[in-house]
Amino acid sequence: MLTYIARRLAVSVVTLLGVTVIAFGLVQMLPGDPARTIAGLLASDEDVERIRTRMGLDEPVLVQYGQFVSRLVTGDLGESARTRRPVTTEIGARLPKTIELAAAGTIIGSVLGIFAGVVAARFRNRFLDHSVSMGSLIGISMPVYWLGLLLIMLFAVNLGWLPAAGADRRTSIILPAFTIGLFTMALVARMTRSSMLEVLEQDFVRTAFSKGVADRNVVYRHALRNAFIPVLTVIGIQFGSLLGGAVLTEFVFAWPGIGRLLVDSIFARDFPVVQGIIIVFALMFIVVNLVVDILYSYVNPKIQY
Amino acid sequence: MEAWVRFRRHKPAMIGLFILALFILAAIFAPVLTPHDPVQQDLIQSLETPSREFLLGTDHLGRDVLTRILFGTRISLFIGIAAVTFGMLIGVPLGVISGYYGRTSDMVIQRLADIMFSFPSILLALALVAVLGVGLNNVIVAVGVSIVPIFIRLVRGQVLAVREEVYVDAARAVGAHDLRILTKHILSNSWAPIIVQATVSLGITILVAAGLGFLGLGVQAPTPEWGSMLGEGRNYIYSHPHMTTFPGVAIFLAVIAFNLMGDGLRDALDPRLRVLGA
Repeated sequence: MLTYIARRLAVSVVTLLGVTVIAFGLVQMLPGDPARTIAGLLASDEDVERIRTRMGLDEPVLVQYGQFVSRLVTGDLGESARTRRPVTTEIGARLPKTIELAAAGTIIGSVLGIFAGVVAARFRNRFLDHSVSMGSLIGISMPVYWLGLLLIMLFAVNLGWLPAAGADRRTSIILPAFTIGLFTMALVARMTRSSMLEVLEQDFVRTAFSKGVADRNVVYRHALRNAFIPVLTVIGIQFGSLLGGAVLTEFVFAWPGIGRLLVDSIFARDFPVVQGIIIVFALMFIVVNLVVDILYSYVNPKIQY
Repeated sequence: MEAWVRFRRHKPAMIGLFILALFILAAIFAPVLTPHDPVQQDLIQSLETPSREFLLGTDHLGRDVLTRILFGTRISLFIGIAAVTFGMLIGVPLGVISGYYGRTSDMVIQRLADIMFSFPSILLALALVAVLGVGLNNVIVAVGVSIVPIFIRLVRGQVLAVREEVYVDAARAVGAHDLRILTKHILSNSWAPIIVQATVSLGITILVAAGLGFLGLGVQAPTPEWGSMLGEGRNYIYSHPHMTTFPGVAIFLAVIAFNLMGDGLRDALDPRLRVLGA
């Protein structure tokens, strides 16, 4: 078990290193001279040279990458081209909002998704089951940005129940969290349903029914507990799409997280920030998957490593 | 043939095929179906609500929304097909090499796939567009790259599954070249899940490309593109919701059509198949 975790950790570190190569390479791919871009249009040639030397841009690419990684390890992501503040400060100020949104979306999606999946499995091939199937198909095919706009139209513009944008009120998170959680909900419902159907046919469930345990207890205590593992994996795997959805959702709802910051920074051609956010997003994804994999081996003692 | 019969019997897949057929017809006959121009502005008739002349209303520049949606079908379908083709051209060979040769190449390619998987597809596409710049070709490349790892994983798994089959050994024994074994014996026996994945990926790429357009980082104005239409409509969401409602319906229907067909193809070609999500 420990060796498994160690090996899994090693793979994550290698993946993360690859992510830094891509983040570094993206900026290298930019057309034009980075020193001149940073210096601005009106800078003299001497100024440009000074910036080039100061930032190490005259070194070979490999050396530059080495410096990039060693700064990264110390938590230095460079400074924003727009605000001149450290990229870590910019990201740090916005990151909690994104985590808040992602967590809310995951919780809403998982809880409602599991519930819908269990209901669908219990009433297999009946009306409720078909409704859940239909609902998850819609959830999977729905463009998250459009869903957000529709929710704004309904709950903010027409009904006036909830704020349309921003994060300054306590109810502000409701619409974006549902928007971002719907896709998770749909996938989790599908997975829970098929996983439950498998478990419900097993002997121990039949035994539980036949010895007179109440239906509800069989389903939630005995079956769901055993059907839970693949569901947990799905929640982990789709966390990446959830983060992707966060970029679009934050844009729709003017939610002040790093997804919104990313889009703004792309428009402002503020590449140090873009680079930093890409690394942070990938890091979040890698960590969540690592945790899910370890949890997986923990809740499923049948697996030997 | 058998698969086609099963596909025909799959009701949801038939609905998907029907929706797709409508979109294809709309793409081909867009200029005949509407008397309006998708790009020509006419500020006098701007922001009109749906009427007999403008069935879905007009946008802030006085262009007929329905006309722009019809012409937008061309863009979205083209991006989808081009991006999936691009993703497969890179992903399938890498998956084959990874699965067939194993060892170092497998390790390297799998780590590469890991790295690409750790970016949500819209994020990878956004990063690429940030560097390459906006515009149709760059959107296709950006979205195409983002689905590469899905094909790498899928094809590798398929190759691993059939690599040890007796007929592959037999081909090797009679001295067939690697390339021949790969194309004639291995790929020809794993095309079913690749087709299913390609169908689902068409939906994903349309979704992501429209997302880029919505952010203003995709196909640029004045080209009629569903995502950028939504992005423009967002500014008028309080007063003229028709501008955001209808382009969204188009994206949603296109994605659902490919998802329905993907489900149907999976059941028709091999009921045991599972496809990776985005």
